Amino acid sequence: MGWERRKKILFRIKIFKRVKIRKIEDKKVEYFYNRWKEFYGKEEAQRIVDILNSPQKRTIATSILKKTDSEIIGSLREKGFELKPTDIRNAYFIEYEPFATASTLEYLSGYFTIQAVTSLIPPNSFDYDESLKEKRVIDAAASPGIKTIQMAIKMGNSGMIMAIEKSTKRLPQLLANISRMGIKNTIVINKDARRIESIKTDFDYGIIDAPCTGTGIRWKKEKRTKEKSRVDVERLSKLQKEMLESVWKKIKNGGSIIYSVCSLEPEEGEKQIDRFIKNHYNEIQLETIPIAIGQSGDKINTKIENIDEIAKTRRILPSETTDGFFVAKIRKEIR
Amino acid sequence: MNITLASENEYTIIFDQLESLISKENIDNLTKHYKVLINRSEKRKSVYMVTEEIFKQYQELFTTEESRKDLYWIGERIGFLMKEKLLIGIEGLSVLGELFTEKIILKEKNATKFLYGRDVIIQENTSKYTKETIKLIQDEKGRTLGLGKLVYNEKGEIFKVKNVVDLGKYLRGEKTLFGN
Repeated sequence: MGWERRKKILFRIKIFKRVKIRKIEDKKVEYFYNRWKEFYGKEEAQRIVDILNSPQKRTIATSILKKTDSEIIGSLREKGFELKPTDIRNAYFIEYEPFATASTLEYLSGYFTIQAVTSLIPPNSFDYDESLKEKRVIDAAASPGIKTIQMAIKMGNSGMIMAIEKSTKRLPQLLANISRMGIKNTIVINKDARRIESIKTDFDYGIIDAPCTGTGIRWKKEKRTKEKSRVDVERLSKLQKEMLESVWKKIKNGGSIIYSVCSLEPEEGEKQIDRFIKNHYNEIQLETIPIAIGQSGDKINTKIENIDEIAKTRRILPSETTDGFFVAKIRKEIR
Repeated sequence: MNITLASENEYTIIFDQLESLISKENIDNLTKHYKVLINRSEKRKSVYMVTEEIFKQYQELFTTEESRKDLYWIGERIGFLMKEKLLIGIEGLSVLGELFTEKIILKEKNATKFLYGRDVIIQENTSKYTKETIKLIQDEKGRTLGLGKLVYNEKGEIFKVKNVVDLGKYLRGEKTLFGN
């Protein structure tokens, strides 16, 4: 067989394989699309699919530990970066970057972190007062460390954050980020957050940005989303439930947890918290999230028992500037 | 991991070496405000500087070898202890950077080259520098770029700054620097 003919056959096999893969992926997307139609309505579901296929704006969040906000932003603007303030203090959308933001000396020197704006919601959901500098905080699924870092900055690099990360593969990113940002108040534990009973202390605050299906993340960024199915929703919501229960036991009376997922599935968000309220009705108080992004959690079309409490959570649907996200602030008040 | 307080011998090795880079006053400040912990589970042992506040937590929570099993990182790592020598890492610059006695300022083009991990040629009067020690490398705005060593030619004149470590490593070597 001649080389040209061989090339043509190989090309056809390649095309065939590609088509086959795309079909499987579309089926998965269809599964989630049908769910979103039910929870958010047909129009919204179509908009979500379109948005998840488009690029997303990233944000930088400056650190006051090394420079002032205006010094950092001024220095980047001098280099030609176009930045626009977000609803979160010290966070800016990158509107234009003349070259990779991560290669600037400002980034390498630990003046800011780069992330989706939604990642900044959990640490900014805690009230700020001077006593925060003496608190103990547990971050239950810490890598890549954005929430740990932003919380450490908020705490003035004082107090203590215990950053728990189960995956050894994900540890280098966490460690590189906390080192680059000059974080001093953090202890990193390589452990499953569901097995922390041996840690002999209680915490004032907990951050659980739980492992999730990631269905609210752009498909370009999170290719695995297209591989997720019903089984994953069930498996991960079980894991989240166990994580919540485990961390909850370690929270002091009067303390609180910020629970979040970048998933659009209510089993991982609204329903997860609804169930949690039911199981802990005599020791729970939900608090409103002090950030005006997204809508209240009760707008979703699914069966919720504690609707007044779920109204205090926030559901963020994917948009030009945000990923899909769910966040709840749960206060422990043993009655 | 088995992270414990530095032994007297390790402490001496670390601070003897730092004394050649940092003023006596700054060394006193460091020893006053930080405790030094060592990770004994690694071939190249990580050296951590830990504030009094975090050290108190360490004393409370990690008293036994069993409790330290999952402890992976504490406070700020300044580098590694290897064959009785302290190798300062890029992550150490956040604690030590500003304290270095000798600093070399690089012009814009050289600063960029240095950040890409390259050695750079410099032309300046070099009599003010001590020969052997590691120096802090900064750009013209006084921003730290990394650590370098001066390389001399046969006539004893400096001809280049050898890149020991630079901040660009955060992009280039995340896994090798922070993996296990």
